[in-house]
Amino acid sequence: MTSPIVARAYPRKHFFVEMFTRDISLVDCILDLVDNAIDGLIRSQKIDLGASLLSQNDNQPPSSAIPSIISITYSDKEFTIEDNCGGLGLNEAETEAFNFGHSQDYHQEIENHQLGVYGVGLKRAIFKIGRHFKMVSRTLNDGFETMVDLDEWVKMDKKLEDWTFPLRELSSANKSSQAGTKITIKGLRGEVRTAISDPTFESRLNKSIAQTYALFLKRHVRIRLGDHDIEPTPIPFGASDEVKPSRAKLTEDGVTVLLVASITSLTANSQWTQNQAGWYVACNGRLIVTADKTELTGWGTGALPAFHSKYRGFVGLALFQSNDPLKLPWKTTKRGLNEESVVYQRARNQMNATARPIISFLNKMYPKDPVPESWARQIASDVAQVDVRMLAQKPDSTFSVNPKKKRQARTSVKIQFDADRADIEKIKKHIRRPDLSAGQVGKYVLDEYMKSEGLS
Amino acid sequence: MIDLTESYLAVQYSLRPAKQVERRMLVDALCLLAEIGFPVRDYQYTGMGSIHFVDFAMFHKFLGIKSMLSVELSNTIKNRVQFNAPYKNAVNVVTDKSIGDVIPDLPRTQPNLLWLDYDNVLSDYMLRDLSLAASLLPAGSLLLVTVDTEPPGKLDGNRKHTQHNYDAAYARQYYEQVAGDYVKPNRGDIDFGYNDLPRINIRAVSGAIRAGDYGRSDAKFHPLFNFQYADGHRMVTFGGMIATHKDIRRIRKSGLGTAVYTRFGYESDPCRICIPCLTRKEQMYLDEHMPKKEGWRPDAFELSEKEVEEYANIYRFFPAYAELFL
Repeated sequence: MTSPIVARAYPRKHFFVEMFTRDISLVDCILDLVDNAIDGLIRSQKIDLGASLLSQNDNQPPSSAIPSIISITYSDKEFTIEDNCGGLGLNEAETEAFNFGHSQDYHQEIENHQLGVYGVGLKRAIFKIGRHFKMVSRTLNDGFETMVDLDEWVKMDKKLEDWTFPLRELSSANKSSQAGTKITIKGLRGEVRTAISDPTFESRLNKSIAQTYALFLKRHVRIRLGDHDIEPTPIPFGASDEVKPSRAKLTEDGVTVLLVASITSLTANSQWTQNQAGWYVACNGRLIVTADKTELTGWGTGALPAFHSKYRGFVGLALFQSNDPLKLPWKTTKRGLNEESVVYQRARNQMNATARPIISFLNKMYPKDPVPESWARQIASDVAQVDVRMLAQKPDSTFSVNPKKKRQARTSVKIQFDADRADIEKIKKHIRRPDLSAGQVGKYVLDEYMKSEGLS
Repeated sequence: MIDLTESYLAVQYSLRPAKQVERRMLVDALCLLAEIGFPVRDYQYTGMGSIHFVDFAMFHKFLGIKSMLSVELSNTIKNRVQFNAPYKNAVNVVTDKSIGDVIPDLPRTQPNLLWLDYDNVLSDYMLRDLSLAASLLPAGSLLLVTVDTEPPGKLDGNRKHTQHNYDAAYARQYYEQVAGDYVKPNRGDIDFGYNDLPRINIRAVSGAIRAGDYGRSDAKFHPLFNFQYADGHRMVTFGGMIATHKDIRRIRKSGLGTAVYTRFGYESDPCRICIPCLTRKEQMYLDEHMPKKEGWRPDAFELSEKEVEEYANIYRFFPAYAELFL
C-alpha cells in the first residue's frame, strides 16, 4: 500500500516577519498594541462595553483619578508600551496569545465585548517595529517574560515546534495597580526610525489615538504619549432646541448597531470644516472609519448623493457591538470596513435612511438661488456640540428641524449671472452713469424693466 | 428637488385613458394579492395625489385601503392640494417635504404600497428615492415608480428636446449623468435611440432598486409590473413586491402570473397599454364578443387583428367617459 501524496501547506516565518507587516501602517500597529492593553482592562475588570461605552455617568471621576494608564514612549533606539491594565496570564501566553490567529474554541469562550479579533495584531506590530522584543506581563495570579531576537527566530523554521517563543515564569503582581504588561522593542527597522523622525509623526499618532479611543479616554483609561495625556477628540454632533438628531438601533445576527446622525456644530469662526464631516464607524467602541465621504459609507451609491462640499455639516456614527468580535465588520488592520459583511450591508441601508433628512436640510441651506442667511443657516448657527452618549440614550428618532423662533421670511433673492463687459459699458454710456458697478447696472436694468412694463 | 409638476394643470387626470387603464390593472392585481392572503386592505398607501387624488379614491373605494399619505412638495398651491384631498379621515397630505424625504418615516411594521408617480423625465434624486425605498420597506410591501420617457432635457438654445429633433448623443450623455452605474457602460449613441428610452429607463430604475435591496437578507424586490403607455407623453411604470421566498412562492402559485398585465422579470417585454380609437357603438359591439375566441375578428366593421388584440387586453379595464350635466 502506497502512502498518499500530499502538498505541503506550511506557514513560513519569513512571510510573517517581512511581508505580512507591509499591509499595515506604523500608526495602526501601535493602535493594535493599545487594543491589547485595553483588552487586558476589559478582562481584568470584567467591563461590559455593551452597557458602559455609551452610558451617561454624571459621577465620572476626573481624568487624573482614572487608575488605568497606557504609556507609549519611543526614540530612534527603542519603542515601549507599558500599561497597568491587568496583564496577560501565563496560561494564555503559553496557549493562545502568541499564536498567529485564534482557534475557533477561543472565540466561543469570549464573554465580553473586546477589541482583539484575529489574533495577529500583537505579533504583527512587534515584527513591524523592530528586530528584538521583550515582553513582561503580570496578573494578580502569575506572570511571565519573553525575550526574542527575531533574526535568530526566523532562521529556525523546519518544523511546527520551531513556532514558539521561550517563556520565563515571573511572580504575580502584588496589587491590581501593578498588574500589566510592558513591551520593549529594540533594533528598530530603518523605515520605522525614518517614520518616527518625521516631526509630524507624534501629532498624527496623538490625533489617531484621540479619535480612535474617544469613547474610552477619560472614562476607562488614560493614554500617555511621551509626557502628556491624550485628550479624546469627540465626534462633533450638534443639537439645539430646534434641531433633533437622528437615532436608530437595529440588531442582526448577534450584532447591535446604533446609528446617530446630525449636523455638526460650527467651529469658532462660524464655519463647518469638511475634514470632520461624514460617517464615523466604530466596532465595540473603537473607531475604524473616520469622517468617511466615499462609497464605503454609501455616498454616491444608491440612496445617497455623492458627497459635496454643501454636505460638510453632516456627521454620523455607526457603532457596531457584539460579544463575538468576529461578527463585527472590521478588517484585520482595524482601519476600514469589510464592505461585504452582511451586518454592514444591512446597517448601510439604515445609515442611508438616517442620513436622508439631514441631506435634505443641507440642500435647503444651499438652494439653487442662494438667499443670504436663509432660515436654515440661522438654525445651523445656533447648534451646539453634544456628547454622543447623550444622543445614544434617547429613543429612536428621525432628524428634524422645528423652528421655534419667528424668523422673518426673506422676500428678496440674490441674482448672479455672466454678462458681456462690452454690454455693461454700452449701458453705462447710454445712461450716462460711468460710476455704476456691473451689479448696479444689472439692478438698474431690472428696475427700468419693471417701470417700463408697469410692473412696479 | 422640484416643485409639484405642472401636468396637473395641463391634464384632466381622470380623462387620461391609458393611465386609468393602468390604475385599474393595478387595482385588479391588488385584489388578486388580497385573495391569496396579502392584507392589502391594511397596507399604507403613499403616493403623489397632486390635486386630483384619482389613485387615492380608487384604492380607498375598491380596495378598502384606509391609511393613505399624499406627498406633493409645493410652495405655490399648498392650500389647493389640501382642499382637494378626499376622505379626510383616511388621507393625510404633506406639502412641505418631497416624497423621498418621507420614505425613512414610512411604517416598518406593516406593509406599504408606495407609488413614486413622477411625471418628469428620470433624474438622479428619483433613483435615490427608489434605492432608499427598496432598502427600507418591510417585506410584503409594493413599490411602484412611474417616469416620463420622452427625450430628456433641452437642446442648445433652450429648444425642447423631442422625437422630431432627437439627439441620441445628448440623451446618452443625460442618462449617463443621472443614472451612471445603472446604465451599462460602453454603450454607443446607437443604443440611445428614441425607441430605446423606455428600456433605458427601466434598466435605470431596476438598477436603483437592486442597489437598494442589495444588503437585505429578509426580502428582495420581485418584479410584477412593467407598463408602457402614452396619453401624450410616453411613460413607464415599473413595480413589484419586496418579497420573502414564501411571498414569491405564493405569488407564483396564484393567478397573478396569467394576468395580461403582470411581468415577473426585470428584462420582460413590457405590458403596452394601447388605447384603440373606437366609437361607443363599436366598443359595445366588441364587448359583446369578449373574452374573445382565438382569431376572432368583427364582421360588422373593419378592425385589424392588432387592434382587436389590443382591445381584448384592456377591455376589462377600459374606462367609459360620458358628459354629464350636473
